[in-house]
Amino acid sequence: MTVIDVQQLHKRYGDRVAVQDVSFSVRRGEIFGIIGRNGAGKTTTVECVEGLREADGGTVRVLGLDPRDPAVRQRLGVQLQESQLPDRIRVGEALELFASFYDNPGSPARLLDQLGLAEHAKQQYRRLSGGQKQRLSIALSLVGSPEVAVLDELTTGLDPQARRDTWELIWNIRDRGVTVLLVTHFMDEAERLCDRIAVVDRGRTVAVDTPEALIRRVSSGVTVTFRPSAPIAAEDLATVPGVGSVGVDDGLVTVTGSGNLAHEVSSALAARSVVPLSLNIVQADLESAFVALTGSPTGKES
Amino acid sequence: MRALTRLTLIETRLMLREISPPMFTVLLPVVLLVVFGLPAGTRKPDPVLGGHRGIDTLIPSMSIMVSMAMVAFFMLPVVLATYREKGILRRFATTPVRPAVLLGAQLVMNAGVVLVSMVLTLAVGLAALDMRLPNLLLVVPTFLLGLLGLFPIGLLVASLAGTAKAATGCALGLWFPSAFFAGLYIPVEYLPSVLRRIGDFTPLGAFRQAIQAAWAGDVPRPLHLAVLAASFLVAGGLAVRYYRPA
Repeated sequence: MTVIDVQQLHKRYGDRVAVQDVSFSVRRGEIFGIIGRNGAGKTTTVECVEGLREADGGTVRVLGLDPRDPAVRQRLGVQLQESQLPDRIRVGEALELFASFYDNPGSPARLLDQLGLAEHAKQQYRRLSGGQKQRLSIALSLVGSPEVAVLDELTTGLDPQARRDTWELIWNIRDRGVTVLLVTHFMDEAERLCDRIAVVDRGRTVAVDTPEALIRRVSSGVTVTFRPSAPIAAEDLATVPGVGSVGVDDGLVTVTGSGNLAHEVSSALAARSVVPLSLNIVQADLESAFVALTGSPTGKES
Repeated sequence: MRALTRLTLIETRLMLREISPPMFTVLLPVVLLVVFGLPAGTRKPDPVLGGHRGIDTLIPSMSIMVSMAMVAFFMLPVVLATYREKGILRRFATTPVRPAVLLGAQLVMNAGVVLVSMVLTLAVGLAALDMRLPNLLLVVPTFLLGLLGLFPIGLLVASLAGTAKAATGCALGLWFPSAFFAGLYIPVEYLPSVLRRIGDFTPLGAFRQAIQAAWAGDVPRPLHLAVLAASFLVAGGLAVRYYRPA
């Protein structure tokens, strides 16, 4: 069953097109990721899903309703990028307050526990660290017992341990039946956490698939580099099964391809009595798939 | 209703945790009352005030006007603009709480501050300055009409200002001319008639004259009541028109 359906979403701010054409649908119970570079249109897309902005074109439905329908607010939990709370509100107060807005709120105390904020319940917001603010923001998005949670830049500002704890929490809430829509620019996070991913580039969805399938789309699935113990010509390896390309640069050989590439290359070298030194094998990951799909590395502006 | 109650309660606590602005707002009018009310002249009938004594008319009306303006022009819009600037309004907009409830909590709390200030003015005046107890059946409705006429101006500022700084700037721009035409620097009774006439048409000036009349036991002039009603409709209408909940 489709929980969030976005079709041909288009959104402009004045003359600037923020979202050109974005389409995806999120099924009940999955963790769905939107990845893209800064300014690709991810946040605008989820703001339309959250009902904060009105689409200029296309359709957006959440739980079968218009996202601006007040009924959606009861069932959708939202974590915004860069939103704050009043300086002097205490952690516990903020959770109690937000809980009071919902018909079936979850337990603030349990959320504080799960997010490691229990000992900070009496702290004022302005005294929290960046990571604590982020965790409070996640807690607030879940306090209404939502059916769907939209989380924008979930783990920005968290240390590695807190990131892993947050991932655990997301798996936990998914196991309780909550559908999660996640916006991130961390490729490892998307790869680990998401069941399916929409890749957004310059305002368009360029692919929607599982992380594994996105990675498989990249022809150069494996990269093997080594220094041969004796000189070897690129042509000698070009015919080896699975090899896509071979490059030799200053004695360093780089072979890209797919399948059981390292084994095949090693065997071919052994047949010539050459030993690969400093052998390095890199499997393609979501990052390389993303670069291949969008034609530019992450973190760099186009 | 539960959300309104809880929001009002929390907003009040937040306000009390940063005590200086509300404290200033509540105490400044009392200080004005005492400073201007101590000289013996304020306890003699004054022909300029229609035979009333200053302590029963001009002086309390100044105090209440000041606290009303501090709250309506400064406290109310600055808090809301801060909320907009920090994305707090956006955060609330993603929850089921309606923007009207959020505003309602602010209005209730800020009205409370003006009320506390007025009660304190009354108490100090009665206890220490030989003020006569005014007719509350006149004073309270006039006070309420003042809230209705002046708070929407603050809401309008909050609607238009994107940041707390901008809101403060707008508030200052409103405050100085309003205070002048309301007679804070020179009592309107001593102003040239043209300036006095202009003052009749400013919301703050109209409020001060209306509350002064009510304090003296007279029914406020219809003109002043009409100006407050018009301010309610116009500023309120514009505030609703331009208010962005996020």
